[in-house]
Formats: sequence, C-alpha cells, structure tokens
Amino acid sequence: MELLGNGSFLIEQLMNAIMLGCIYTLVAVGFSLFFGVLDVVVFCSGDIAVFGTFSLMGAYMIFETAGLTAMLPTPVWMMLLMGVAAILCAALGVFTYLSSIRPFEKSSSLMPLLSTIALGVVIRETIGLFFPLGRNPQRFPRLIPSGSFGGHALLSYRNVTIICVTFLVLLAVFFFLRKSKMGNAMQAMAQNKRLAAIAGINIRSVAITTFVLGGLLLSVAGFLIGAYYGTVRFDNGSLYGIKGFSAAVVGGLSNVYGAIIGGMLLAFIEVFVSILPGGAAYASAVAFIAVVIFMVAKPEGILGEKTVEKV
Amino acid sequence: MNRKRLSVCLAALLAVGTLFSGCGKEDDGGTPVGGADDRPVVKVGFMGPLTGGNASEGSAARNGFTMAFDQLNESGELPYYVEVVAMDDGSKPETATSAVQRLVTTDGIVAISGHWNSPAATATIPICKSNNIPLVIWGAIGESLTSAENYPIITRVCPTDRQENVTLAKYVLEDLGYKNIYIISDTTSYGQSNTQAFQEQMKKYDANLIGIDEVPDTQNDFRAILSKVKQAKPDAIFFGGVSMGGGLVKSQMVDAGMDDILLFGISGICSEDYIIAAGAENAEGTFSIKPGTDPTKTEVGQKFLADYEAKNYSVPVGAFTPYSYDAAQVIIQAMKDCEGEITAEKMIEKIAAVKANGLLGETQFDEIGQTTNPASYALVVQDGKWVPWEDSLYATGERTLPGRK
Amino acid sequence: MSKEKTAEKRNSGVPLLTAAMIWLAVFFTLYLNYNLSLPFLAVIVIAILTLEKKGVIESAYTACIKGRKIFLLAMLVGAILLPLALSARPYALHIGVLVCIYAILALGLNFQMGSADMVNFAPAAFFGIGAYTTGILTMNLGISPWFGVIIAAVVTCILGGLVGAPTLRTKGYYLSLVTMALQLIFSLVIVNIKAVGGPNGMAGLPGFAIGSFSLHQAHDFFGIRLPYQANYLYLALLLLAVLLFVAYRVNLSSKGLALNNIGQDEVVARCLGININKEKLFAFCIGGAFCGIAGAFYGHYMSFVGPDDYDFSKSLMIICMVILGGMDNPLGVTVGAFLLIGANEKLRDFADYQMLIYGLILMTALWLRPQGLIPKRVRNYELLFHKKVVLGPNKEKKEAVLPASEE
Repeated sequence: MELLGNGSFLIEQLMNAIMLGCIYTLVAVGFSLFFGVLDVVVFCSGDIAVFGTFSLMGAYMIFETAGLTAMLPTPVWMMLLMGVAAILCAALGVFTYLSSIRPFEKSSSLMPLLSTIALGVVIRETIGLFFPLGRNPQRFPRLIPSGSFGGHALLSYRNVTIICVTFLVLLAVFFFLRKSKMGNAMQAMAQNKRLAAIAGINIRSVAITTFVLGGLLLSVAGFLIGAYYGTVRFDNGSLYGIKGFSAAVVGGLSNVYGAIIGGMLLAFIEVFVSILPGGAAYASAVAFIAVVIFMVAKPEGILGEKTVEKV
Repeated sequence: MNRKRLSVCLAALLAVGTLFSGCGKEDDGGTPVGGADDRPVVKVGFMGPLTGGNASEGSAARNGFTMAFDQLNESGELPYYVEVVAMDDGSKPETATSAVQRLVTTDGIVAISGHWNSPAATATIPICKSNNIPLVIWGAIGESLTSAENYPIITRVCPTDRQENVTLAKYVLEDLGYKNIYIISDTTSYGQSNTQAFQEQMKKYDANLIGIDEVPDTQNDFRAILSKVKQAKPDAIFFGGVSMGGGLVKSQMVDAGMDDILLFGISGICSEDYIIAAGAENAEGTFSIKPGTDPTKTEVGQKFLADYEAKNYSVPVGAFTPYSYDAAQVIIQAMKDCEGEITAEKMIEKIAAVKANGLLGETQFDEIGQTTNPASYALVVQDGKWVPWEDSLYATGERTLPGRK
Repeated sequence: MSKEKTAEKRNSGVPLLTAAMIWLAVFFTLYLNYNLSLPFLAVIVIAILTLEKKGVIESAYTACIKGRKIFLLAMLVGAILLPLALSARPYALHIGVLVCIYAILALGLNFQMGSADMVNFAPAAFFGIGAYTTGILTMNLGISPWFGVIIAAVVTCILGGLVGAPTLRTKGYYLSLVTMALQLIFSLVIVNIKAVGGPNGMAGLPGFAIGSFSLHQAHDFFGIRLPYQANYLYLALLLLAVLLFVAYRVNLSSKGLALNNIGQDEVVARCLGININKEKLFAFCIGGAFCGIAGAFYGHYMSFVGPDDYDFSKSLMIICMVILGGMDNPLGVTVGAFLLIGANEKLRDFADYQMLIYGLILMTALWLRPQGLIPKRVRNYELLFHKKVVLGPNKEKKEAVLPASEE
C-alpha cells in the first residue's frame, strides 16, 4: 500500500487523529480540571458528556414537537439548545460534587473514585431507561449543515466547527483560569487548599464553580461526540471516560495543558495503529500499552510536576 | 449480657427467616410475565440479553416470545396456562449460567428458549443437557451449538452463521457480481465466525479478499480504517457485526466520500436500529439478507407486526424478534402435540419432531436439531426503509447499488 | 471458682451462637424465595450495622477467638450441613459456590487494596489468567484439574510479581491507572488469540474428580441425592476456609503490619526499615495467586472459559466487595462478597432496572458507611496467641497495652 507516496492519505489520517484527539482532549481537560482543583478523579466524566449528548437530543425533540425549530431562526434555537444542554450538564456536575465528592472529603481518596464510578452506572442506566427507546442507538440531529469549504471533504463544515469549537472552548478555559478572580482562586486551591482557605477563599463555592465549569466543558464534549459520530448509545460514556482519563494521566493529571497533549497523543496512537494491516483489533490495546509504558517510565506525566517527597 | 443479646438476635433471625420463607411461595421463578387464571400452569423460560449493550435486541426478542404465549393463553387452545419466566443472560457466560440454573430448578419449567450470544449458549447447553430440559436457541448462530451430541435437547430456529453466509455470498458474489471485498467485523464471536464463514464462501466464488480488519465492538471510530479501505479500492465491504457498528461504518463511509462502495452483511445489521444508527439518508443502498420469509408479505407476518405494534413495547422489532416468536411457536406446537400432561421429557421428544407454522414458514429440525428452513430473502435500504430486493427500485434498475458496474 | 466456670460456659456459648447465626443467615439468604431474600439481605445489613455500633460484634469476635476450638467446630458442622440443607435447590448451591469464589478473589485483592492501600483494578484479569491457564493445560495437555489449579496459582503469582514490579514506581492514582490499563489490555487481547478460542472461549474443561468420584455428577449421601453443585460447594468452602486462614495469618504476621504501614505512609515505613519494594511485590504475588486459584476453580466448575467473564466491570465488582465488606479485614471482605453476589443474583429479577439499582445501592453504601460493614480490627495478639504483649524495658508495669475488649 502506498502509505507515504500518497499525500492525501496521510493528511486524511492526520485529520482523523486530530478530530478524535479533540474529543479525547475535552474529556481529559474535564478530568484534569477536577483533579487539579480538588484532587479527585471524577470517573463519570465520560457519562456526563454522553448525558450532554442525550440532553441535546431530548431538547431537540421537544423543540421540534413544539414547533420552535420552525418558528425561530436557526441560530436562536441552536443557542437555546446548547444552553439547555449546558445547564443540564452543569447541574449534573454540581450533583456529582454534592453526591459523590463532598461526602468523602475527609476519607480516603479512593472513595470519590468509587462513588463516581457508581454514579456513572446510575447516569448510564438512567439514560437507558428514561430516554425514549434509550437502549437503542440514537441518531443525533444534524445541527451542523453538510457541505464543506472549497468542496474539500476534509474541510467539511463539521470538521472545521469541531476544531474551532474545541480551540475556542480551551482558550476560554485558560483565560478563565488565568484572568478571572475565580480562576485564580481555583489555582490557589489547586496549589494548597489550606493556605487558600486561610487567604479567605471560599472553598465550597470554588469547588462548586469547578464542577459547573467542568459540566459546561463536558456538555461541549457531548455535543462534539454527537456531531462527529452522528450516533450515540447510552453506554458510550464509559468508553470516553476511560480514554479521557488515560489521556489526562499521560499528560500529567493535574495539568490542564498536559491533557491536550495526552488526548492528542492517544488519538494519534490509535489512528496510526489502525492503519497497519490487521491493526485495528489492537489499536486500543496498543494505546493502553503506551499508557502503561508511559506511567512506568515517567509517572508524573508529560507536563506534571515531579514531586519530591521531603521527610 | 452478650450471650443474652446474641440469643435474642438469633431468635430474631430465625423468626424473620421463617417468616420470610413461610409466606413465600415454593417456586423460584424470575419475573413471571402475564397473569394467571384457573387453568393449571406450566412454565417456559426465556433467556436473552436484557441488560448491557445488546439489551435492545434481547428485550425485543423477549417481547416477541412473550407475545406468542399471551396470544396462546388468550385463545384458550391449550388446557394449560403458560407462564413465561424471562431471565437476563447479560450476553455473558457467567450470568447466563446463573440464569439457566435458576430456570432449570424452577418448578413447572418444561422448555427454555435462549440466547443471542454464542458464548452464553455454549455455557448453558451442558446444564440444559444434564437437567433434561429442552433448549430452543432463538438467536445464537455459532455453528457448533447444534450437533449430534446435543440433539435432541438442543434445537435452533435460526440459521447458523454458515447458512446465512452461504445465501449472502450467492446473492452478492454471484448474482450481483461483486469481486473485490474488504471485510470489517467486530471481535465478538459473532463477528469472527462471520468473517470466517464468509471468507470460505469467497474462495468458492473466487472473489478477491482486499483486506480484513477486526474492531472491538465498543469502538465508535472507524474513520482510520475506512481511509485505509478507501485507499485499497474494493467494490464492497462485508460487515460482520451488528446494527450499531454497521450503522457507524456506513455513516462514516458517507462522510469519507465512499459512495461507490457497497456495504453488506448478514441479518445482524438488518434492523431498524441500523437505519437509525447510520441515519436514514446515509443508509441508502445497504444490502442484507434475512432468513425465513418476508413477514410483510405473509398474513401471519402482517398480523405479528400489527400485534407487536399494538402492545406498545418500549423497543421496536429487532432483527431476531421473528426467531424468538418462532421459537415460541415451536414450543407451543410441541405442547399441543403432547396431548395431555406436559413434561420436559415429553417436550424434548415433541420439539425434535415438531412441524410448526410460524412467521418464517414451517419450522422442522434436522438430525442435529438445526432448522431445515434456511429460506432467506434479500433486502436493501431504500429511502430509509429495508425493502425486499425484488420490490426495490434497485432490482428494477431505476437505481443502482454502489460500486456495481 | 464458680466465676471461672461461668466464664468457661460463656466461652463456649457465644461462639456456638455466633456460628449458628452465621450459618442461619447464609442458609436463609440462599434458600429464600427470590423476592424475599432481598429484604432479608437488607435485614442482615441493618443487623450487622446495629450490632457493630453496639459493640456486639466486637465482643462476639473476642469470644470466638477465646473459644475458637468450639467456634471452628461449629463452623465445620455448619459447612457440612449447608449443602445438605440446600440439596433441593441447585441454584442456591450455585450461588453458594459463586460466593466462595468471589470471596477468594476479594481476599486476594485485599492484600493490595485493603492492607497496603494500592488499588489494583485488574483482579479480574488475574482471575481470567488463572482460568485460561488451567484451561489450556487440561484441554491440550490433559493434565489433572488439581494440578491445573496449582499451576494456575504459580503462574498468576509470577505474573502478579511481573505486574507489580513496574508499578512499584507508581503510586496512588497512577498505580490505579496502570492496573486499569492492564485489565483493559487483557480483555482486548484475549479475544484476538485464536489459540484460546478467541471470543468463543474454550468449552468442555474437565471437572474435578477424586479417583473415580467425579465432582461433576450427582451423588447420593445417606439417602439424600446431592446435585453436583453440592460437591463443588463442599470443595469451595474448604478452599475458602484454607485461604481465609492463610489471609488471617498473613494479616497478623509482620508482613501484614508492614503492608499497613506502607499503606499509611511510605516514608515512615521506609524509615522503620521496611523493604517497601519487597513487601509490595509480596502483596501482588500472593494476591495474584489467590485470584488465580479462584479463576482455575471457576473454570473447572463452569467447564467453560470465555473472555466475557473477566472484563473491567468484574474488577469493579470485586473492588466494591472489598470496600463494602470492610478494608483490611478478611472476614469483612468475605461478608462483602456474600452480600454483593447475593444482591446481584436477586436483582436479576428487576432485569431492566438491575444495574441502576446496583449503582444506587453502591452509592448509598459508600455514602452511609465508607469504612465498610465490618471495618478492620485492632490486632489483639494477646488474645490470639496467649502471649503477653510486652512493650518497653519495664516488664511488670507495661503488660498488655493493646485494648482488652470484653466488658
């Protein structure tokens, strides 16, 4: 096969990897946001994202039956749709904090991990049971028009939208963390909780804001998952959860920038192993092997800080 | 003090225990579906994936199965009331083993129908055999499940992977004349046995195998593989998997601009779910086969579809729902043949010798318990619906299948 | 003198009662009708919680250790009677066997997770490797299933060490992720290995046999026909008893203390002269061996080994057993396995709602009782080994510092 000879083939695969990487990255950034600020692994992040996809679809169904999609101009109802999904995801984020993180503040770090895993099961099953025909695959409505820039299949409106949305969302998160007062408070808390409290930072409200922010981020991830694949099933969340978590760890769990590198790295490994003849069966396995090797050789992740234990 | 307290606890435990066991009925049944009347009750078991990723297929099959017995009970043709005990096998051998253990020890069980997943069936078959309870397989297609050793206890109303692929290969490789095939399947036993069976057929018809890719069934992203496939330029892609994966492949094929390549597969993708997963506009021109006869064309079939609709089940008819309905018809016919008392031993004999009229035509079993009704018909997706090949615009030549020269 | 006598009497009474209660609870849970045993399980949980709170369990514990001969004898009698009492219900026996297997798995994981606070997310992979090892050996080489179990234990022990070695460098969440990735790799790779049946698995593993006595057939005992599951339940109970004993000895030994120390603070442990790497490897090896034994036993019991039974969700389930039962308490994790398997089997009646309820139960349990139903105990060496614990140079004054428990 002409792997290198044909330029468009490689570019096509690069594009595949970048798109996949965008989705992994958003979930991974969610993970590292939670971990960075509160030192907890929120394992149901993938499920929150898929919940976002389903709430978009549900809202769309309601809008359509109510005739809103025909009545209002497209940008308006699109914004409303996103708004509904974002609010629902943010609410779920806060619920996650209140039900699975806050009760375990003083116990071992294992407890939030397990209780978010349990919450993930609950979210997944709730979608499966209470969404109409929830256990069947669901078609995501076509929110991004088909067609492409300059007639080039790779630059379809959808691909461009996904990349732009990811970029803008990440930019917004960084600005929020860097420039806003709340963002600074989050960073202070990430560095030293007790000191942050002494400095007069309201730990509770910072924690809740973190989860609102994380929920918003994951709702965008949910939108991208729906738009990119066009089809979702209620149990897809666990897959994105594991992949996102792996990406976050590879990048260095507490580092939001590392999550981007981790997400992209994981996606590239998967795509390029799939290209090899018969490699598709092993793509995920190789990605996880890379994670293991990485962990063992450089446990603090790509951008994580090396912690030196002092006695 | 402690001893006193402990004795009190012991007494309480005993009391609670006896209370519980006292007011409970003797049977160990799972969820009984339907109510009873004053006729004597016999029970039939059903096993299938009611939870997990295959839950929609399993639940639809359970609904079809239960519906057949509801109809029987209403009609009063049998001097018995038949109760369906439905159990989840979770697509897993361990869960299936627990389920079958419970079924075979339920009082009054005379027959079981089960499984969509071949590994689950592999695990439960020895248990049914050692307990002498007949098992009619409705959806697992692994070829080795029915065999001379397992006959007459194990029978199957659906075709094996080989039977289906023989028919499909004849349609696609001979009648439609496709030559260069790329195989994509999932790594489940369903996918892998399909790949194997179809490859054998390809050798027979002298078709070219362009490449094979096996993908874990949880994977959503086929784009990297499809770009590779596009490069290899096959005429058609054989998909050996089920609806969700098939739909994702097809919609991602459209995204990648692979409009001139046919996607086809056996009955695993031949369902509404596939069209939903692919998107109605993307699914156009997918080719598949369904064993049996077309339900929309026969009277029984139309009645079945209407009845299913009327029941307002939460899942639509799946690819294998007609089989579970026919498995029920086989059991019902065998019950009628028993003429009098229905026991599991008698049922084994009667099921093996059954001639049952169902949705897919007349079902009979051969000397290894496999249905002799392999009649299949081809379908194609046209305007968001599975349409029988003969009736489609593709057969008349108004539209052409992708990649057909 | 009379006081001594009553003390002796009490020493025999409480253990007997405790053993009776344990077996009755087990019997009723397994025997009861399925719609009733869930409330019954709830009653058991509430009873354990109240008794634990009032200190009854603690004193029963002490009394059982004091009168341990009588207690063990009573437990033995119960173990012999249980399969007989359940002989009419093969399904109940089957659940009993499953409980024993999962209890062994939970004990194995407890060495790592309970004692040393290293969360291993791959117990199901070891479980599977044990089953596959004996499957390959008995099916292809025709060796006896008994040897299959032993070799499976050795293989998983070595693999435990191999997995443990690289993870020594990682800690906390990172360790969890490495084991999680290993678990997923196991599931993804095993379906692609055609030699072990790929996704179809291997069917027809031979059952255990003692001479010509096959455990895979029903036998008559004193006029009672025992289904084949009863044979396996006897064997499983024996295996569980042996491994529970091993787990307790390890827990009480210096190894157990060292692991606890590592779990609490590695730096302190290092300062105390504990060889951290050695102890951690030990935890991985012995834990792996436990899981391997369980897997091999399971494979021969089911006569089937397939990839679907050893996936990530199975690992999560085992982890939940350890947490719900009580970390670092062999007895607790056994109770955890019993309750979760019981609940899981009973919840099957809810079909569509099964997983939802399972998740909700888990969340509530974590919420209400994060330390587990029967949390870990302070090791009472004085009581266990009839040795005075002596601390410090002044022998006379500082004897028996560890808490004396009764009354």
